[in-house]
Amino acid sequence: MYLHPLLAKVPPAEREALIKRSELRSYRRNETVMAAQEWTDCIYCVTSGLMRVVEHGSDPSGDVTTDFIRRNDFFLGPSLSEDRYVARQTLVAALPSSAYLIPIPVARKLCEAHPEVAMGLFEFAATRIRALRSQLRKISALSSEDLVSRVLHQLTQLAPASTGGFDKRITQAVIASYTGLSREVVNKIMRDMESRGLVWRDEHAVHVPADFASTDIGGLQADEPKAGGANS
Amino acid sequence: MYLNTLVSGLPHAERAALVQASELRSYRRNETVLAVDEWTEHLYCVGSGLLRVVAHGRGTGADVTTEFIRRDDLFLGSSFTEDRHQATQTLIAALPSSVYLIPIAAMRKLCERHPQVTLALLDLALKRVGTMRGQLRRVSALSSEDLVGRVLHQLTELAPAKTGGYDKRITQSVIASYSGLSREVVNKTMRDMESRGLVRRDDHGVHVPDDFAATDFGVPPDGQDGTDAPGKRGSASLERCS
Repeated sequence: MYLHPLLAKVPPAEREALIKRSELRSYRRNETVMAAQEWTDCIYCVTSGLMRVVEHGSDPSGDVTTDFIRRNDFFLGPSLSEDRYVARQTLVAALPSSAYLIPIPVARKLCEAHPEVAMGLFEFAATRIRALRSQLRKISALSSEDLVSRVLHQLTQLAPASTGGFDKRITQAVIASYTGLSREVVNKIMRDMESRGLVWRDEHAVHVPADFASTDIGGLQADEPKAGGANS
Repeated sequence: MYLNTLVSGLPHAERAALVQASELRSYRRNETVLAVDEWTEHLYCVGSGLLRVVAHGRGTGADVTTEFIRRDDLFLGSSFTEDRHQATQTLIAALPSSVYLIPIAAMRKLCERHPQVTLALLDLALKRVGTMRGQLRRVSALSSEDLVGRVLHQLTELAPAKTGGYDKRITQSVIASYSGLSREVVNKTMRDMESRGLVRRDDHGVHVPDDFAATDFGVPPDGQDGTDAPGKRGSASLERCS
């Protein structure tokens, strides 16, 4: 049975009670887990797959994927002090996924009884802040090509395929909504990378060179990354 | 001594001990509170003024202000589980500021004894997550003009001037680094807004119309969910090009 690392020190009886009061749900790819502007009374603990958080603009072209929630990570909503909240974002399954829906009062009681659980959740939130900072910097400062490379590399960690690379079911539309670029631009950049042999596909995955991670440190290296130039 | 609403519900002795362990420092505008790569053992809690968090890229043009930390808010650094860590961002005073430096170790011990403090910290962090998601959307999806308009409006809340509007000491280069635009674009956009009478200045503040907030609406003001696409699109574009 699924056991989140955060609950390792919680006595088995309480753990079972928590699971009994939670609901395990499965979602198809692209299924909406939680819709913006709807009431929800849960936090979401992803047990498999990958979800994305979507902020909405005044029309659908303004929708942006702000972050991904992977296995063992949480979507926590705006506060744990209220029992329910109106979702400000939409949560969508980026891959077939499952999640525990934990009622907020249940999560709060657990935090009160076990300070290390509260601390653990706080660490998750702090990690998320760091990820958002890094993404904000990338979106604001990187060239489109560097940004796409960096995101493709991130996807190899968020949505690893069994053969390496990232799961090819992650569409270019998703990549576009996460990079803040148009689908056309993402498509052109990825085609270009493929034609230069940097990016290649197999049955399951899109493969990305390891040094795509390093474009994040750099400013504007428009030139082709050199092999082994991880620090360039 | 005032510290933070985080600890307001605690027994007096606990609060006093935390205050005792903390240090209150003042910073001039543009002074660095914490430099990237510097070791720190503190949480930074703003008592007055405004700080900004800067994430660094390689070139000079790659520095980005990812967030502002205002009075009563905390800068949550890279780690809460370790007593000290190396800063991964720079923290700069955007206005003259006073800041409580609270030892992470002391705060953590307090959290272990009082889960409600951890929950309050968690709520602060979740609020920050929400703000940053909103900012990511704006930076990604809004036109330069809408983005600048929205940031100016945010500044009226983050750095209010006593005569209304926002504190004019917030420079265009700060606005540029927060909106991910060049200074030239911000300058041009703001000049244009001034020439159209939308934005005006006095001795203390830069004044911004209320409807600059509306460029941000993910939620239409009347609460409709936008299933009537054509009508909604019309009003959305009105909002956006006002």
